[in-house]
Amino acid sequence: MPKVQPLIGIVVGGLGFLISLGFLSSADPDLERLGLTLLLGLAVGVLFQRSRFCMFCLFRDGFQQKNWEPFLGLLVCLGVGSLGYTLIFGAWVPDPAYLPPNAFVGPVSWNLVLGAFLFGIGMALSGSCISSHLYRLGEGYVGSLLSLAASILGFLLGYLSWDFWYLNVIQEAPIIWLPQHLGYAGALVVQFILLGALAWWSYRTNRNPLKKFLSVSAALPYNVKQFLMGRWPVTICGALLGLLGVAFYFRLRPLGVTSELSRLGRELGQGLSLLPSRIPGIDTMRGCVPQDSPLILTENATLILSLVVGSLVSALLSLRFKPQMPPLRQLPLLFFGGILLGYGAFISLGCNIGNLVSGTMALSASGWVFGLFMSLGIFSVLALTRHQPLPTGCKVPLVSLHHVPNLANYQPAPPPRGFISPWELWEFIRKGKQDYVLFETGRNPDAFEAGHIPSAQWFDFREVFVPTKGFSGLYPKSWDRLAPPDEFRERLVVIYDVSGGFRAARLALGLTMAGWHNVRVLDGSFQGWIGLGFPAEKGWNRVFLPLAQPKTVVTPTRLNIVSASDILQRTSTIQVWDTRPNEEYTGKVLKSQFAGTIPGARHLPWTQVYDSTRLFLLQADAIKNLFEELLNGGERAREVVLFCQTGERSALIAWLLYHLMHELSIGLYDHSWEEWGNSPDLPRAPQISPANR
Amino acid sequence: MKPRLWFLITQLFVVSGLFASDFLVSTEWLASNLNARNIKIVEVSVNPGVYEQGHIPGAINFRWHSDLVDTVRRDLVSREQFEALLSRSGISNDDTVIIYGDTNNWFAAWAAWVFDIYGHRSFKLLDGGRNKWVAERRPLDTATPRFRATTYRVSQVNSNLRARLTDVLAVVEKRADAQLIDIRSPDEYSGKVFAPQGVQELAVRAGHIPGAVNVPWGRAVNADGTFKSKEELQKLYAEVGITGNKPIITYCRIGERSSHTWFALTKILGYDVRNYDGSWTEYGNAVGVPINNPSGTIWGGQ
Repeated sequence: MPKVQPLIGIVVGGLGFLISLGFLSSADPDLERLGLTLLLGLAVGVLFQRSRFCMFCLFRDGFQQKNWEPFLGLLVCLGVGSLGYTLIFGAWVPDPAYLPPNAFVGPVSWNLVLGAFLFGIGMALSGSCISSHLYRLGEGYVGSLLSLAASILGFLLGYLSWDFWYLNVIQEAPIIWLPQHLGYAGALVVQFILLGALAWWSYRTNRNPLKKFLSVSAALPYNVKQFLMGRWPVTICGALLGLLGVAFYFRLRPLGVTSELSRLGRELGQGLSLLPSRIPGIDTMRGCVPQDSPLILTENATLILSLVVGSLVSALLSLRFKPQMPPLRQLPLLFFGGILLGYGAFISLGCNIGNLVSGTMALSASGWVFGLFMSLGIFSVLALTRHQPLPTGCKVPLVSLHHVPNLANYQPAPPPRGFISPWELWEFIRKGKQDYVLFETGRNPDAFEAGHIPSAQWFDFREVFVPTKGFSGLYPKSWDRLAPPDEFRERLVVIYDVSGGFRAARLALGLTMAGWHNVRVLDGSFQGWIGLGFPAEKGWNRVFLPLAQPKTVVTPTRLNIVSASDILQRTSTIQVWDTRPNEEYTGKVLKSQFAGTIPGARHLPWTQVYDSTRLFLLQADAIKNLFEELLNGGERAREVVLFCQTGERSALIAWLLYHLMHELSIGLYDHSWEEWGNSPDLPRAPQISPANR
Repeated sequence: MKPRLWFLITQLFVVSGLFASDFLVSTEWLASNLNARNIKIVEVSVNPGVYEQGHIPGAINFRWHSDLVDTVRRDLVSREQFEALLSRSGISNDDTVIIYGDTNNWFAAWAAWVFDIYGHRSFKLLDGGRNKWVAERRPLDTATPRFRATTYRVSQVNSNLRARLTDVLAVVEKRADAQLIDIRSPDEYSGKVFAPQGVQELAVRAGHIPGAVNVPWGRAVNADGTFKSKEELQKLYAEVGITGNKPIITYCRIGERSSHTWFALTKILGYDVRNYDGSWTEYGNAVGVPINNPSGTIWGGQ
């Protein structure tokens, strides 16, 4: 079924593209404009969907998780846009004594303050602003339809209170266009001081220290599949959206998505005889003010439609289209939030796209005021619902990609050293203040995007343990790229994987060898986390490794990577542990050319350290007893060398040994049975049957 | 001496063109004379942003609602303001000004009327206006040109091109002899509607000035927005008894569409015409003046 998605995407996208080209070549100027609207609208929809440019999400990630990188995307968008707008203004309105035509420069007064605040609350309650509801509709989220319909009601309520707002507030409100007071150069300087201050502040408060030095180096997706499937870097998309905003102003009208919804609200009101046929004052206003059109679709309706279609095409192409119903208990939130969106956008004469994006780009004070009070509205809801399950947003329920075990009321043992319990991790996330880094690792970024622990970043396992010919992934030859800057050496790093814990443990070993001092693995893995009912969120957020980080790496002496020849030479001082499960150990399941084990190796199936859930670890003492049992007998070894088939599962045992058995050195034979079992020249011992052990 | 010489050469060139009137230029002619000396192009459009998003290269923007009227009194721009506007726009008394605009040159014709009142020597309307230029896919520019300021002087004011309420009343009450042309739509003329579709009414009475004949402005143009030929226009107005043997007064709702007809009658047919810029928004609101409302519609305050 998902395989047909890209095909449908290509057909729908191609159709939209051809229609827009057809319109563009029309001799009728109105149709030509419609074609351009369609073309640019499709591009906006694609960018919104691919970068998840959800303005609620980017404020929420910042407020709640101190992850301000998406917010930086918005700042980049505004910066690029204001440069472009000013270039246009210079040509169109050389003397800023005149107001620029059609620009989103609105009156600044209480209507803007209250409208933006209510709009922010509506965003937080319904989980999106109006434009993001449009792109999420394209992704198949049915709940957005409810919010959008409710916003039309909100516009109707706005019309009913229009006389009050117009006569008492809007009519007398000043229009503050920065260039009129400061000139173009002065206005740009002020604009960039404000944007720069916000960028600096969000950079400083960004919780995630690793990203500070990791993300700058390579902000570009690193392979074709990632480009097609993954989230696009929000800063680059922000710049592109800024350019599109400029294109809209240059050729059409400033980008804004509410005029058509407003028109529908007005028609609804007039259909129900709630509104008179004429509303004084409104025809002189720009922004949400409805446009009349001689064509079937107004320009704004075309824009809205193309935005949804663009998002749909983009979702189909990246296999992200999934029809989804909101849970019943969220319906009131979606509805009430939608009404606030409509009402707020109406009385402030524009939504966050019109007012905040197009207005700020146009160097209008109204854009800044709207942005300030909208974020206050979002923040107040987030502050009040701090301990509640969060509203929808990008946090749609986990898709079926994840198995959710039933662990209600389950009490796992306190985890051994080197691990962290879900409760402890949740405290860190909930408080949102402590400095910690949370990574999910593994081989499947889709699973990460479908659901992960809040604030986690995707750390692709294969980027460190690069698969090569014959091997599924070995420890890197140099730790340069993973080494921490000195100030982050003691920072708590928490790593988890979906289940099994061994990939997390292997990455933990890698980071420890690269010089990180405080690395812990999540007990229970992601499945244990969601099984216990801890929250998860959807979306894309990945770590970019720097190309090189020239640092002096201090590797703990107790951890060594060993080769087959090391093992053969040092048989007297080391003890070899085979951590493969029974069926591989006995040769029942043959993964290499030969069955058997390394001569003298003792067998400890890696799953033995888990309790009955096969997700959570046994008590530390029980694990220690297992290890002691295996070590006893004969001369006690000073070093244990671990192997399995690929070097992954043995990493879990190695990580436990490292933290529980301090007198031992640990050798990681990372070529494991992939090498030994495929080399006819290396000696093999016949396996000892489990019954005889 | 030299500018004067250039002026004469330009004049010769302009006059040699085969146009319906010396006061019209075709898009084709303008396209090949964009850089001609002593030619200034002025756009006067109703819709904001139209000029900025693309205009004929080299054209200056005149905002009819702030540049060409007195924003406090309901009146035309004053002589001093007109001089200042043209001076800072770099237009000198010897320049030939080509005027064009959107919505079929309505406000462009109105601007031409203002230029005529202030006695500018040489001005012409772009036949077909902005719409024709755009439809022919001719190049547009978005940069606003700036010219070196001049010192423009108005030497005479032709007030006789303008009709006032008293002039119109004198005709209605048969104290003066003139013909009135109402160029609005038949529904506005007959009083069936107070204002055209999509426009709020600005007068509390519907109908027309007693004695006025109705020739909607659109009947004076071809499908592409250019003026009809001199012969066709003569015939059109002769059908309602207007042959130019009597003074004529044109009016509409606010005086802009009637400027279009004023232009056709004076500049193409050479008749004696005054434009009544107070138009129906003044006459229809004036207290104690007679109107003719065949439809009998009554304004209810809504």
